[in-house]
Amino acid sequence: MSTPAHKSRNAAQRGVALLIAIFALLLISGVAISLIVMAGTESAVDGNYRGSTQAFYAAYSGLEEARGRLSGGHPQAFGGFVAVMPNVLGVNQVRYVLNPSAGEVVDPTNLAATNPYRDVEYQQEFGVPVTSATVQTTTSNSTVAGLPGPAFKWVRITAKTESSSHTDIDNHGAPPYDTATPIFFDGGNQNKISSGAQVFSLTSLAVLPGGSQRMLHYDVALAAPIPVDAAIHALGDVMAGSALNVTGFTDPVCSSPSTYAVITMGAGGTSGSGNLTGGPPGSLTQGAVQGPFPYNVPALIKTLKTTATAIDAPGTGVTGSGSPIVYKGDHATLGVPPTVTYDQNGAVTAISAPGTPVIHYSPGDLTLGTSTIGGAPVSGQGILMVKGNLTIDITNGFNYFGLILVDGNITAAVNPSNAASANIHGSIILTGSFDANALQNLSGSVFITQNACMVQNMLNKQGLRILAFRELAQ
Amino acid sequence: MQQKEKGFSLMELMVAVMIFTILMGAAFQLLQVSQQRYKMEAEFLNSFQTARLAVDQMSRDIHSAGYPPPNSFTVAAGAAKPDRVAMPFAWAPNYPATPCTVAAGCTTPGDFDLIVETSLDPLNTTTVQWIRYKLVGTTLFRGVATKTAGADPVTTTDAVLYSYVENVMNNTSVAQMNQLQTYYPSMFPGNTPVPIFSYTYDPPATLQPPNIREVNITLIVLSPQRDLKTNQLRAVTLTGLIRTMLPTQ
Repeated sequence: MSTPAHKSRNAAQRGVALLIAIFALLLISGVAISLIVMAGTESAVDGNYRGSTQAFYAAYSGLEEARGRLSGGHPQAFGGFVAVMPNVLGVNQVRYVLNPSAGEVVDPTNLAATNPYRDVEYQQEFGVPVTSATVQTTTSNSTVAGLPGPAFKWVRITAKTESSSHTDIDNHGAPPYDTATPIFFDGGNQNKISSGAQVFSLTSLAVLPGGSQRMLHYDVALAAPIPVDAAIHALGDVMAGSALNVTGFTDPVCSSPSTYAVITMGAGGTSGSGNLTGGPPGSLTQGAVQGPFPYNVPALIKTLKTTATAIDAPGTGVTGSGSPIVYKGDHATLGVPPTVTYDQNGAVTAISAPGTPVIHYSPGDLTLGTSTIGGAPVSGQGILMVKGNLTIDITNGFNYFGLILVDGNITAAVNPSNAASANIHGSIILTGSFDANALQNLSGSVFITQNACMVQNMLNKQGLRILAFRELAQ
Repeated sequence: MQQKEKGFSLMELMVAVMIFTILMGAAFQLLQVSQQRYKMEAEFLNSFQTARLAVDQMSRDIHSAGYPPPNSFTVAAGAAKPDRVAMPFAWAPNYPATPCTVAAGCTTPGDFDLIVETSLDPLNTTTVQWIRYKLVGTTLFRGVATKTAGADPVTTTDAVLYSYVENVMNNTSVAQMNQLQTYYPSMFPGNTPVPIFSYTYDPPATLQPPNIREVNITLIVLSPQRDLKTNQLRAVTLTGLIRTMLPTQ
């Protein structure tokens, strides 16, 4: 049985033990907390870096999706959603590709501060809020069934202007920058004179669930802009002879405006009594004119040949021989031509089967067709590029749809004892001279008809080239 | 009986003090060790974070290299205002007339020196900046200067360099390299300095600054304090591969 004094001493001892225990616990807790804080800081640093990198690549994937789908060759191409050559996207037109997560609403035009995906950057570029523009939206195709796609939220597609890029493109003394004129790319440089293909500005925003966000920007344009302004556009002379029917009046199946039949810079201009007709809207009907040669053919060939098939690839019927190597295809097949209906003037009024266009590249002189009577005609569709001279023998027929691009001369030939005919629909562009004098005594017919659609369809399938890239400050 | 129990005997007191001292000693030792470890880890973390921020900033600068490119202007405008056009990377000597060959004639770009050209704030300024990263000894410097037509990018940026990351070991002394090799045997392959910047080129692979397509960054940073227990030097190696987006002009 304890006394009150006993109780008091025991109580004091319990207190000291408690104090020591609390103190020890405090120390250990301090150490533990500091270690936890350190580990937390390290993982936060890691997380920030990872999030920032993820956001960069998410935004980048958005840019690439839009760039890919702008190309007519993409299986999910935008088509009419964004106007491409020869149409132009207006400067007040805005197109968004939206990529919401499941159950989420992404509306970049809702400029409320509570909207994490609002697009206030548009105003920085164009000086007006995006709500004052004409907006159309579509959805991303990046989400594969069952797998979440990249975390970009939207990609904005606009026409590039001086104002949107704050760039004095023609050194006219800006600011003030031009807010109204769309920028074009001629294959080498950008310009304000509508030369080449329109430049699109792509802006992509990525926001991750953790809060990391990045905004990236591309300027893109068609890789090889080739505006068609004639059925034959030559740097040298054009000797049409007496047998050619060349017209700049576009095939009725194509809605592009008419052009001249022939434009040449040749000193001799055109010669012969061939039937040359055409003329752009509003001009006098005049088959052939002298004019500047705006094409950088070597550069265009260099760009286009990266996706071209070799001229002597299996199935083309073309073989190469000799040194320097020259190519010959008596009955060449350069892609599958479309199935078309002609009117009495040789113009295409309908296409019932599209065929298969192919880009072919001949690194040396090329002869298509043979003067030996018999066998299949030379036929093809797509783009035919020749780095050298092209000889076309139409004895057994020659049918080509698309663009013939020659860094050299073109000569036409025929065996006059055969009633040969030829049809070329599209455009012929060459850096040398065009000579059809050998067709003088032809008993058949040769039609060369401007068809910008045939050319543009091929060019639109080329990828869009990245002209500029930058990250936008957030 | 109760009177005797009122105080402590000397022996009791000594034993109690001894136990208390031992406990306190152990506790304070634990506290001191944890404090030192905290300081050391904090410094290591600080080095790590500084290096990571530096690699991130270099990545952003290199990603934006070459904006706005020469194609953004008409030929005449580009020729009239060359200071508004950004090449991806400046070089020396003979800038901008003749590109030098990297690792042969170039003093920059090099293993430890890079000058990026870009417009840092394109929507508010028309100027292009030279952003330079240069390793001197064990300090990585950074400097930003406005590109001026006719000016030398090296001289211009030399005047504005500031210390960016310290204790960078990529090109340290042989003695320090050997010391680090004992703890990190594969840190310096071939016992040679590790370039901060190495490059790959667009075909045809002429090793000239306008052809640079990728920049590989390797940054080795040493923590100021050694490990308490093992006395080991603590270093961190960060790498990044940055592909420039712009086409070769």
